[in-house]
Amino acid sequence: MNTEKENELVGSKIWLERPAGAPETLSGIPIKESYGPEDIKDLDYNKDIGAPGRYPFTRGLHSNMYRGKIWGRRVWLGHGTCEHVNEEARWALQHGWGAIGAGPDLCTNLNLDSDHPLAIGYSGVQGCVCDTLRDVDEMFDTIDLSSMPVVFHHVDMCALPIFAAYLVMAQGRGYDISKLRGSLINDPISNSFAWCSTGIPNTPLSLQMKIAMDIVEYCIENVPLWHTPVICAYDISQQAVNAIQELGLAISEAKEYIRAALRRGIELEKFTDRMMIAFSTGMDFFESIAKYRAARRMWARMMCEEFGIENPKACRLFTTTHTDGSSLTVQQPANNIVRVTLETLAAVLGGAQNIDPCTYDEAICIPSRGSALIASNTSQIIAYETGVVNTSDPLGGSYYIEYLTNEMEKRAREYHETVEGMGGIIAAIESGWAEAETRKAKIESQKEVEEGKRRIVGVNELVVPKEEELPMPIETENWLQDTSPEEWLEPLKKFKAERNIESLKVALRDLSEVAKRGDNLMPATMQAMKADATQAEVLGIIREANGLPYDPFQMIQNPFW
Amino acid sequence: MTIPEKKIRILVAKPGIDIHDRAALVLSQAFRDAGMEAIYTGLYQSPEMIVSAAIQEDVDGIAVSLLDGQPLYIFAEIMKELKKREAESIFVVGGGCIEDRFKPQLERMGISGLYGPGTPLKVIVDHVIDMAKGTSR
Repeated sequence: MNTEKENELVGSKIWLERPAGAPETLSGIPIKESYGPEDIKDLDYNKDIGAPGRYPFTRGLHSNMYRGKIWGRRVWLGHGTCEHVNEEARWALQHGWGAIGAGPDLCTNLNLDSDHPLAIGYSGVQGCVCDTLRDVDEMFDTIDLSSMPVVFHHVDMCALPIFAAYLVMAQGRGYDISKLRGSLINDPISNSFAWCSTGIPNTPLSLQMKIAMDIVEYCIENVPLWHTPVICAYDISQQAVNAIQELGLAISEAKEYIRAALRRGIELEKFTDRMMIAFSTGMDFFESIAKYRAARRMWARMMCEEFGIENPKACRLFTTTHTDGSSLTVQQPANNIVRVTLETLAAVLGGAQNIDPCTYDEAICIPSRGSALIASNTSQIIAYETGVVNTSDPLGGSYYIEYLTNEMEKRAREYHETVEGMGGIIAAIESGWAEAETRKAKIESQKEVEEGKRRIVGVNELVVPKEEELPMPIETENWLQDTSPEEWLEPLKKFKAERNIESLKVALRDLSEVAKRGDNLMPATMQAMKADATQAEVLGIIREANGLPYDPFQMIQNPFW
Repeated sequence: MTIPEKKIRILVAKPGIDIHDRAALVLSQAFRDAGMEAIYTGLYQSPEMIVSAAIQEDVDGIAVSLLDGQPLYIFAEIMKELKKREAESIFVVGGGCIEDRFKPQLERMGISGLYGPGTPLKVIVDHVIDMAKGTSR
C-alpha cells in the first residue's frame, strides 16, 4: 500500500488554467481583454455621469456618500412568535444593526391567520406570527421607534393591516408618525409572478395595486419619510433571471406605479423618491456594481425626461439590497461567508443605501444569532477596516466600469421597452409572458450549472467529500418540534374570545363601506386594527366588499355577518 | 414473461403554503426530459390533496419539494394519508431544504432521496427510475 503511494506522482496543471471560451458577464455581456478611452468615447461626464450627488446620480445619491452616512446595516432576523422576534431585535440593536427588519410568516403573507386550516404547521415559519395589533405591539416592545428605520419585509396585501397596526401602536406610544422612518417591501407586481409563480389565490392584482397605492397616498400626507412601495427586484432575480432582466423589469414596475399615482392625481415630486428598489447583489462583481450605477441613471432620466420632474431630488433612486441567496451553497457553508463578503463589497461600491448580507447558513435554514452576527460583521468590517468608505464612487471613471454601466443601461432599457411594447409589466404578467420568462430562466440556469458553464466551487468544481468540509455550526430552531399546532393557536384563540366583538363589528362594517365606496382604506383599517381585528379579517372584509371570496382559499367564511 | 415498457409517472408535489417553487418547476422539466410523465400539483397542496392526485393520476411515485424547514409534519401526514387510502405502493421521494438531523426519522418513515440544493438533476432522475423499477409490477 505504502510503496504504491510513494510511486504515485502528484502534481497539478491548475496553474496553467485560463477561462474557457469567450468571457462574458453573468448576463451575457461579452468582455474584452482590456478597456480604454475608445470604449467610453461618447460619454459626457456632466451629462451622463455627473459628480456624486448630482443628476443623473450615476455616482451615487450624495456628494459625500458613506462619509456622510454609512449604509443601513441590518440582517433579517426573526421567526416564530412576536415575543421571540422582539428578543432578537433588542439583541440585534445592541450588536450593530442600524435598522430592524421584521418579516411576517408564510400564513400572514397569504393573508391567513394562524388558525386557518391551511396554516396549521406554518405559524412562525419563514417569518413571525403577525396577526393583530397586540402582536405588532409585542414585536416592538421597549424599542425606540424614533431612533432607527423599521423595515417590513415581504408584506404585500398584509402591508395594509400590519402597517396600520404599526402606526396605531406608534401613536399610542406618543410618537409623531410624521417623523417615523422605514420602508414597506410591498410590491404586489413582483409578488404576483416572482415571489412565486402564481401569487395569492382569488386576489386580482388590481385590488392589490389599489391597496399599495392607498398606502402611498396615506404616507405622502401622514408619514412622509416612509419609503413605499419598495420594488422587490430581489424576488425577480431569485427566479434566476439575469441582472439585465432584473433591472429592466424593476424599471417597468416603477413605471406602472407612477401611472397608478398619476391616475390618482398624486403629485409625482412627493412620490418618486419615496419608491425604492430592493436589488439582489450577485456574484458577478463588476456587473453588480454597474447595475446600481445604471439603475440610478435610468431612473433619474425616466423621471426627468419622461415624467417631466424638475426637482433633481425627486429623481433619486434609493436602493436597498439583500445579497444573492441563490448563489449560496449547502456544500462547504464556510465558503458562503466569502461569497457574501464579495457581494456586500459590490453593493458598497455600487452605492446602495441599505445592505442586508445573507447568513452563511441561508441555503440550509433560518439564521441563528451566530450566523447573523457574521453577516452583520461583514458590513461592519468593510465599513470600519477596509477604507472603501472614504471617497464617493471610487470606481467612477474606470473604463471598464463606465463601459459596463452603459451596457447595462442600454440592454436593460431594451428589455424594459420590450415589456412596454406588450402594454407594460401588468399586461405582460396577465398574458403569462412574465411567468414564462422566469420559467425559462430557471431551467436555463440549472442547465448552465449542470454543464459546468457556470462554475460553483464545491458544487460542480473542486467538490470535496462531506467529511473534508470545515464543520460550521448550523443551529436551527424547529418551532413545531416542541409545540403542538394546537398549543400554537392558544394565544390567538384567547385573543379572539376576549375582544369586544360589538365594537369590532362596527369598525369592520365601516371598513366594508369604505371598501365598497373605493375610498382610501388606511384610516378605516387603522380603526379596525385598534378594535382588535386580525389581519386576515381586515383583508377578508375588503375582499368581500370587492365581490371576492372572504378567504383566498375559500375554506372559511366571514365570521361576522 | 416480458412486461411491456411503461412510462414512469411521477407527481411533483408542493405541499403546504411554502411558495418556493423554483425547484419543483425545474424538476418537473427534468423528469419530462428523461422520458417520464411528470405531473406538477402546483402550489398550496394539503397532504390529502397530494395523495388524492397521486391516486387519480395513477402515478408510480410522488416527488415532494419542500423548502419550509418543517419536513417532519408534512411527510408524516402524506405517509399517513397513503396508508389510509391503501396506496402504499406509491413511493415517496423528497428534497429541498431538509436538515441532516431530520433525515434518519424521515428515512424511517420510508422517504428516500432527501436531496439538497446543488444535487445534479441526473442523480435525482436516476433515483426515481430506480425506485420506479423497484416497485414496478
